[in-house]
Amino acid sequence: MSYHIHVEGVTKRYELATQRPFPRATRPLLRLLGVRHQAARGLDHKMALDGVSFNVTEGERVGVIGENGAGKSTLLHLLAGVASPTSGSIEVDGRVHAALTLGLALREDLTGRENLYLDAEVQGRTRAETDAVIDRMIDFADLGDFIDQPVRTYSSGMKARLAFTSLVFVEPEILLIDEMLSVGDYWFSQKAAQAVRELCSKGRIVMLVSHNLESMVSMCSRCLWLDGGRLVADGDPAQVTAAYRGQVRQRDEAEMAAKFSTLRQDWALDSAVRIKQVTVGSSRRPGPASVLSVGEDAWISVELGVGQGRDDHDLRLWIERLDGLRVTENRWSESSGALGPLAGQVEVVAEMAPMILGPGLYRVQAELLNAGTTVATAGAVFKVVAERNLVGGQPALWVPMDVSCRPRVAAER
Amino acid sequence: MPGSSRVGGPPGTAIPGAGGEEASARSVIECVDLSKTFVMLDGQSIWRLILGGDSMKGFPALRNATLQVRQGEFLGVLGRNGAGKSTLLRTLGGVYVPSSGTVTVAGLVSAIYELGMAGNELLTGHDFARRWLSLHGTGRRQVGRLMSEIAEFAELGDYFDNPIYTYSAGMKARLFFSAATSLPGQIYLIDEALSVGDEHFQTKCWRRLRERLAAGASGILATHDWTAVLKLCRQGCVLERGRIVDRGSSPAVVQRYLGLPRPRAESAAFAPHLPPVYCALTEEDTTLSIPIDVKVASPVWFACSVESFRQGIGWSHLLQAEPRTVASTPGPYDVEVTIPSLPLSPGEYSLNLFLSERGPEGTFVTLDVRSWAYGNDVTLSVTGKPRESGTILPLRWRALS
Repeated sequence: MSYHIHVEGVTKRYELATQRPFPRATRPLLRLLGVRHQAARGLDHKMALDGVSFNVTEGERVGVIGENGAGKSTLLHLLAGVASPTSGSIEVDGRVHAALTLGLALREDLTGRENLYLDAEVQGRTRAETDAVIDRMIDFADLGDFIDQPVRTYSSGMKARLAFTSLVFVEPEILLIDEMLSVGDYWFSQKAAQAVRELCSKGRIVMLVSHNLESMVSMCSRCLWLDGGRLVADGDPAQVTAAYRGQVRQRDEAEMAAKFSTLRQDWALDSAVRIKQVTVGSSRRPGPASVLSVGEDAWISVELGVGQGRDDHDLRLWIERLDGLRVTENRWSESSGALGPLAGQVEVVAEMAPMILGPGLYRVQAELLNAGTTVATAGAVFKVVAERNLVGGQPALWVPMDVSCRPRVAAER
Repeated sequence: MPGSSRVGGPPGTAIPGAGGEEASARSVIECVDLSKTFVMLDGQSIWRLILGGDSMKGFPALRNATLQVRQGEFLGVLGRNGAGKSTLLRTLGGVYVPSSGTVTVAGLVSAIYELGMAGNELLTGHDFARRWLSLHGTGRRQVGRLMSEIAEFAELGDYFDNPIYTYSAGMKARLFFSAATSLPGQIYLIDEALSVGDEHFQTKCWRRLRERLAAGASGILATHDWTAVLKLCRQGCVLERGRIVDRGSSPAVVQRYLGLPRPRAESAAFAPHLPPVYCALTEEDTTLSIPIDVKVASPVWFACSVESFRQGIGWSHLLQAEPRTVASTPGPYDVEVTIPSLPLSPGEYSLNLFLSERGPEGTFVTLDVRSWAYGNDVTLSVTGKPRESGTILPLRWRALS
C-alpha cells in the first residue's frame, strides 16, 4: 500500500461569469456614467493553473506557497476532486481528506466533544474506536472546559484547533489543508507541526497551503511555489521560501524606489531665487555619482541661482532613508552664520569626511530658507553600498567605535 | 580630558524630558475594571433567562481588565486562543456591552475584527466599501476619492464588483483591511488582521499603518503573532483566561510570554553594578564604561549596539560595534566604548550589550546579554539641542561662488 499524487500538465481555466443586466447597446452610456461593471466588458477567462506537473510520494509533507491568486487553492480543489482540470491528468492514490475552508465541517450547535465524535463517525469510525482516542484528542485540542460548550461560543482560533484535531486523528491517507494553521497560536502551531510529522512518518501525505512561511519551513519537507498559475520552484522549503521572499521584496522595493525617486519635489516660490540642482559625489572620483561606498569621503553640492543680491538666507539639508528614517537634518547657519548676501551663481558644498551612512537608498533634499520660510527646494537620490557586512546587524550609521578594556580596581567602585 | 564626557551615572539618574512628554499625551482608549460575562444557554436556562432566575451559568470572558492607550500609540495584546482578546476588542469597540466596568474611547473607532465582519456576503466588494464609508459618516464628496483608494489598495481588480461570497479568505481580508484603514487619524482596533494575505500585501499593510501612525492614529493590536507586537507596539500586555496577567514594554512582555531562556552568565557576566541608565550629550565624544566580570581563562568577546524603536517598523540599529576580544583571564574589568561626536539626537535609546565566546565553526555563543530582545536592556539617555532627525551626520559646509 503506497499513496501517491501524480499531476501531469494540469491546466485549469475559469470562465469568468459575466452578468449582463443591461442591453449591449447601453454599454457606452454606462461607461459614460461611470458604471464600473463587468457588463461593460466582454467575456473573460482566467488561467488559474497553467501546465503544472509534479509527483508526491508517500511520507512527503508538501507546502504550497505563492501570492494571492497564484492558483494555490485551485490546485488543492483539483486534488480534492471538487473541480476537474481543463486539461492534463491528475492521479490520486489514497483516500483524500480535505480541509479547504476553515471550520466548514463544524456544527455550531454541537459541543466540541460531540463534533469530534460526529466527525469520526462520518469518517467511518466506530464509537468504540473513537472512545479509545477521545481523551488524547481533547488533550491535543487543549480547549479546557470549552470542549463541552457549543462550538458557536468558540473564538476563531479555538475553532481552528478543534477542526485540526479532528483532521489529524482521523488519520487520513492524504490530507489537504488550505490556510488554516495561521489562526492557531504559537504553542498550538508547534503541536500541529509535530502531529503532521508523525502522520507523514506513517507514509501518509500532507499538502498544505499557507502564507505563513515560517510554519512552512518547520512543517514541510518540500515546498512548491506557484506564480501566476505556473510552478516556478519545487524543492527544500527553506530555499524555496527564501527565493519567494526575495522576489516579493525585490518587486516591492523596485516599486518603492520608483515612488521614492518621484517623491523629490523641486520648486521655487519665485524664479529670482532657486536651487538649480543638488548633486552627490565622491572625493575619490571627479563628477557626481549616484552610488557611494561607506567610509569614503563624499560631498553634497547645492547650486543656487540668485537673480539679485539677497540677505538673510539659510540653507537646510536633510537626508532620509528609503524606509522613512530621517538620518540627518543640518543647517548652514549652525556652523557658519547667515548665508549671504547671495548673488549670481553660488555653490554650497557639504562635506562628509568620512561618509558614515550605512548601505541603503537615500534621498537628500536641500531647502533654501528666507526668514524661516522655505522659498526653494530640490533633491537627489543616491545609493550607499558596503564592501562587507558588519557582524551582527546593519546599523544606520557606521560610526567607528573604539572599544578598550582594562582591569577594574576595587577602589574605583 | 576636555571635550569628552565620561558617563555611567548611578542607578535612578533623573532622565530629563522624558516624564513631561509622556504625561502630555492624551489618552484615547481607557477602560477600568472591564468585565464581560457571557451567559451560557442550555435547555433549562432559557426558561431561567425568561423568568429571571438568579443562578445563571456564566462564562467570564474578560475579568477586571484595566488599560490605557495614549494618542499616537499602539498597545499590543498577546494571548493564546480563547484568552479573551477578541472579547476585549469588541467590548472596547462597542459591539458588546460590558458586564461591569467603564470604557472611554475618545475618537472615531475603526475596527477589523477577526476577518468576520463582512455582514452580508451577497454585497459586492464595492457595495461593502460604500456601506462601510457611509456607516463611518463619510461625506458624499469624499466617498468617490476614498472608494477608488480602497479599490486600488485591495488589489481585487474586477472582483471588486463581484459578491463577497466568491472571494477567497485572502481577498476578503484585503477588502476589510483596505476599507477599515481608509480613513486616517482614527482609533484602530485590529484583531489578527496583519497575519493574513501574502507577503506583498502584508508589506503594504505595514506601510499603510506607518502612514496612519505618522498622521496620529492610535489603537490596539490583538494577536498571537508576537513579531507584529514588537514591530508596532512600545507597550504590550498578556491576556490569560480573561485577565491581564502581564504588562510592560513589549519586548519584555514577549520575552516572558514565550518564556525564552536567558544566557546563564556563568563564564562571563556584566557586573551587578552595571548602571541601568547611561547619560550622554549629543555631538560630544562619549565614553561608556561597562563593568564586566570574567570567570574563565579563555577569550571573551564584547559587542554592543545602540537601537531605537520606531512604531510600525520595529527596532532600528543606529550604531554598532563589532565583536572583539576584551579579556582572556579571569577578573573584573571595565570595557570602555568610545563614540566620537555622538551622532544621536536628544532622546532615549536602547543600549544593547553582548558578551560571547567563540564556539565551533566560528559562531558566537552568548554568555551574557543586556538587550531589548531579552527585556533587560540598558537605557542610553542623550541630552542636548533638539533636532528634527533621529541621528546627526557631521557635515562641513563651505560656499563657492
